[in-house]
Parts: sequence; structure tokens; C-alpha cells
Amino acid sequence: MDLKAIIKQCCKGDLKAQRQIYDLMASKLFAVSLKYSRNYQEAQDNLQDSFIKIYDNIDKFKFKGSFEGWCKRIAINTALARYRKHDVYELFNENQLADKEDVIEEIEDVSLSFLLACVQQLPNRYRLVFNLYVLDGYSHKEIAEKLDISDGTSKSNLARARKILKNKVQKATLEEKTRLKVTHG
Amino acid sequence: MDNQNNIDRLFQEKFDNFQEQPHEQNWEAIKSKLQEKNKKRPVVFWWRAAGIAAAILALVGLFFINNPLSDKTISSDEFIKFNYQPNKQEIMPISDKVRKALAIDLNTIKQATQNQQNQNNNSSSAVKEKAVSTKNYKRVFASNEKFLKTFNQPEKKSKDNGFQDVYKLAGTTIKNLIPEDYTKLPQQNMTGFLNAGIASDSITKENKNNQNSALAQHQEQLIDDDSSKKMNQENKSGKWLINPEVSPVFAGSFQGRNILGNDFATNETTNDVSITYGINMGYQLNPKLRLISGVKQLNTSATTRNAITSNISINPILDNSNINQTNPNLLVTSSSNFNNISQQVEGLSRTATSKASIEQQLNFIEVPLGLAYRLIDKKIGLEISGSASSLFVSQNDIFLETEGQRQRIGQLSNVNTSSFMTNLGLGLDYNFNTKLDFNLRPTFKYQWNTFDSSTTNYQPFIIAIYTGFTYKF
Repeated sequence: MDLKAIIKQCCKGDLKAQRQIYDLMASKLFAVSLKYSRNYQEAQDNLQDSFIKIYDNIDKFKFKGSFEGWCKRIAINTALARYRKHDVYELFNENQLADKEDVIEEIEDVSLSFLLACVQQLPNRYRLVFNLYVLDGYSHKEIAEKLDISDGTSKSNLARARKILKNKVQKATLEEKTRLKVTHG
Repeated sequence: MDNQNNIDRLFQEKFDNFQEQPHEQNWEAIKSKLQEKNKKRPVVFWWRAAGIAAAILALVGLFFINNPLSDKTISSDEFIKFNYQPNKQEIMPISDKVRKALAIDLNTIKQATQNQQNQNNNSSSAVKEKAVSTKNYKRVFASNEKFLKTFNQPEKKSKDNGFQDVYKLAGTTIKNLIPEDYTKLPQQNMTGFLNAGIASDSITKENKNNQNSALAQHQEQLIDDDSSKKMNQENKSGKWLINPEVSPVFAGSFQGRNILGNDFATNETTNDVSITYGINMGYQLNPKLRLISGVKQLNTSATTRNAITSNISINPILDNSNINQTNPNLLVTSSSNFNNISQQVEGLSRTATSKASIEQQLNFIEVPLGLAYRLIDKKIGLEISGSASSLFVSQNDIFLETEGQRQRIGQLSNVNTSSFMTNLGLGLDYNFNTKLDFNLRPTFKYQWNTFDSSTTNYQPFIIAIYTGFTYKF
């Protein structure tokens, strides 16, 4: 069965078709959820909410543009709504975050899971802005609209996010070098 | 800038094509949410079933009335079981309230004692303070113990404290309502509170009164909150309702004087006040929205004056009349038309004629299907309702009234056996109790295709003012 047929079945609320959509999209949308969430548990919640929204609104998908992109946007918007609702203005101490010990399994070539952890540990707004701009290609204008902030705030949030991430990656690399020196030297 | 690009590139490269297979339990969670939603979709079904549903609903309603099951109300135990899901770690609304009540009341006392302490710190010595502080522990404790006592003995009736009654939800004791952790809460807090050594100097009578009034006030607030909640819960138990009602029928038309045809186009016609009565059935979809249907008898009648009638041997064919006569030898027409015909038909002018009135009686069986939306849900409630009715002709007669004599001469030829009507109503109701309402509902009804449009431009409407009783079960 092709995608169009599956989607049409899905519109009728067919559970089998809904499962097929899940199989197709779950790993991609879970990746999105992981990036935008603070941790694994929240990512799982986001994934579930996203799929419910997708099934509820699948009849509105008019086969213009890719289905994957449509689903991803839903997952992103679900995450944005979640954190917009919770706490946008959180107090944040950068030093504290920089001093935090991270468990890093593999550093020579900085691992994806390490980077994911770095992103997840970013304060909510920084994380959302970084994801939207750097990883999902949204413009500052779009971000400003989505998060109900100004362009300037979006830019400064991005700069802060980059700074934090850079520090973390550098620190991790440095630690690994030191560790290697100690072992081999 | 380079740094920026580097860090962006690092993440972009790593996250390119990033996929992560979620655990299967996520699908299970989604599936159960979907199934839960599907259960809540009968609305769609109802709409699709349209006219048929109306009849089925009425029948089902009648079944429920006769069925002893309908007498069964949900007992408090069932209610608790239904709502309380220990695995979900969800706090029931009522226990949350109890918890809040305790927290706030403890705070009130704490604050009162602290204020007292501050005041007295200025005037009394530390030694004296210490001496009386023990006494005050006891006092504070005693006042709280009283509070807790009433709290834990909900069965006991007392006049001055309605608090326990509030929590005595339909015969369930307070202990059943509070999860175990919360029953422990007040005691724990009390101990902590006392251990913390919050002391105060002598609590004057006035202060004590203040405390009591603060408590009383808070309790009143709880009572208010809870009585409304209680009301909602009771409303939930009665999803079905039955509503016999009756109304006078005031008919009118947007266009055309009558439906008898062009022969009578200029004749004076009055719509007589008739009656409509019947039974409505309702099903509460949610606290605001109700599905309505029912069966009603709708009578309409109108009298057209200044008609001429004559007994003749050959009846000229009247093209422009919508009266399907049973007696071919009876001429019925308007006086103006009679003059026209008499010129054409020989001998007609010499025939004896008499003045007559034509009375048309058109009755329908009405089966409405629609929705009512509640705007105000209080002792006196307000709602708007919209529905579409199927009309089935149950009586179609034309009578001729000549000099006090009334005879049936036939029926209207241009009435469709079934047609539609849209209804828009504004309902006022007075709730005697949660089960019984009195209601008054002015309704505007517009008939759609009652008459063959090629024969008349008559567009009738009806205004009805229904009065009736609504019984919820």
C-alpha cells in the first residue's frame, strides 16, 4: 500500500493504518522530540502527543509538500507549545552549568549522544532557538513569531546557546586529552 | 564567526539523518489514547443517522423509562471507585481540596500566632514569653485538634459546622475520600509545626475569634465550591431527559396570503391559533450540549373568507385552486373569480350562491433532531436550541362553512406528505431540583418544502411558545 492510501485509511480512523504511519515516522519524530525536549521521558511524552495530533489532523494534510515535513512540524510545534506553557523565563546560571560534570563515553570524535545531552541541558528557550535555527533551518523572524519573542531576543538566545555548547564541547575535548596524556604519558 | 560556524556545523553534521527508535510502549500509549477517543465519538454517529436516529432515540428513551434500571442512581461508592485511580497517582479533586483546606488553615493559625508573637515581643520579656509559650502550644493544638476532630468525624451532625456535611458526599465518609497519604498530612504538619517551636504569647479572646472567623470563612468558601461541584456530579448522573410540552401555534407567512391558490389570492385569510404538543427526548453529550429529539403533534389551521359556493350540475375546472374536492358538483371559489367564471359558463350567473368561509386543517407529526446549548446553568437556566424537524402529514382537510353549517369538501392538493422545518428556540427553565425543571421556550419554526412550490409561493412560519416539564434520569 502506498502512503496516500495509508493516509486515507488513517482518516477513517483505521488502527492498522495508524500503526503503519507510526512505523514510518516514529524514529524520525522521536529524534525531533529528543532534540527539543529536556530529557528522554519528556521526549516520549512529546512523541505520543505529536502522533495523537497527527491522527486527529491527518485529514487536513492535502498532499502538498512532504508528509514527513508535515509530521515533523507538528512534532516541533507540540514541543514548542509544551515549553511555552511551562516556563519560558527561567533563571539560569551559566557558570553552574559549565561546571557540571557530564558523563562522556566517547570523546575523540564527539558523539551524537553527548551533543544531544548538551542540547537537552540547554535552558528551554536557548534549546528551542538553537534547534529551530541551526538544526531545522527556521529564520529568526519565524522563530520570533513561534516563540512570541522579538528577533533580537531570538538572536541573542542563539548566541548564548552557541556559547554554552562551545564551552561544553571544548571542555569535554580538553578533558579527554588530559585523560589520554595521563594514561599514555 | 568561525567559531559559530564550527559549532553549527558540528551539530548539523551529527544531527543530520538523526533517528532514534522509540520504545514500543509509546505505541501502546498512543493506541490506548486513540481508543479512548473513539469511544467519545457517538456524536458523529448521531449526526449521520439523522432522521432514523430520532425515532431510535425516542424508542430507546421509552425503553429506559420502563426499565427498572433507570431507577438506579450511581452510588457514592461507585462514584469514588470510578474516579479514584491509585495507579495513576492522580489526586482526586476533592482530596486536593481537603489538602488545601488543611494547608491554608494551618497557615492561618501559623500566621495569627506569629503576628501575635511579633506584637508581644515588643512588650514582654523573653523569660515571660518562654513561660507562657508552652501554654500556647496547647491552645493552638487544642483549636486545631477540634478542627481535625470535626474533619475526621464526618458522620457526626452538628449545627454550627457544615464542614463535614460538605465532605460527606452521598454518605461516604471523609476517610474514604482522602487517599491514605493525605489523612496523615494534617497530623504530620501539626507535629512539625509544633516542633518548630512557633510560640506565641497569650492568645487573646479577640484573636481567637479572628482565627475562628478566618476558619469559618474559609470553610464557607469550601462549602460554596463544593456545592457547585456536587451539583455537577448529580447532573452527570442523569444523562437522559424527557420533556413533555405543549404550545399554542401562531402561524404566519413571509409570502402569500394563503395556500388555496391564485383563485383566492386576494381573499382575507386568518391563521387560527392551534396547538402543538408532544414529548421531547434528550441526551446530555456534555454539561453544555444536549442532543434533542422527540415526537410531536403540530396542528395548523387557517380560515379564508369571502368565498362563494354554489351547487351546479357541471363544475368548471378551476386551474388556480389547490382544493381537491370530493363533490364535483360543488363550486367553491372567490367572489371575484365567480364573476369571471359566470361570464364564461352559461347559466351560472343565475345559479343561487351563498357566501362561505373555507377552513383548512393541516396537521403534522413532527420529529425533531437537534442540539441544545446551555448558556446559564443555575436555578434559572437559559439555553438555545436549534433543530431540524421532519414533518409527516397526519391530517389534511378542507371544510366549508356556509351559514353556520360546516362540511368537509376535500383536501389540499399541493401538500407534500413529508417535509422539513427548522427550529430555533430560546429556553428558560426553572429547576425545582436536579431532576425536575419547568421550562418555557419560545421557538421560531420555518417550514421548508411543505407545499409544492409550483402551485404556490406561500412561505409559512410558526411561532410556538412551549411550556413543559423536564425530567432527568
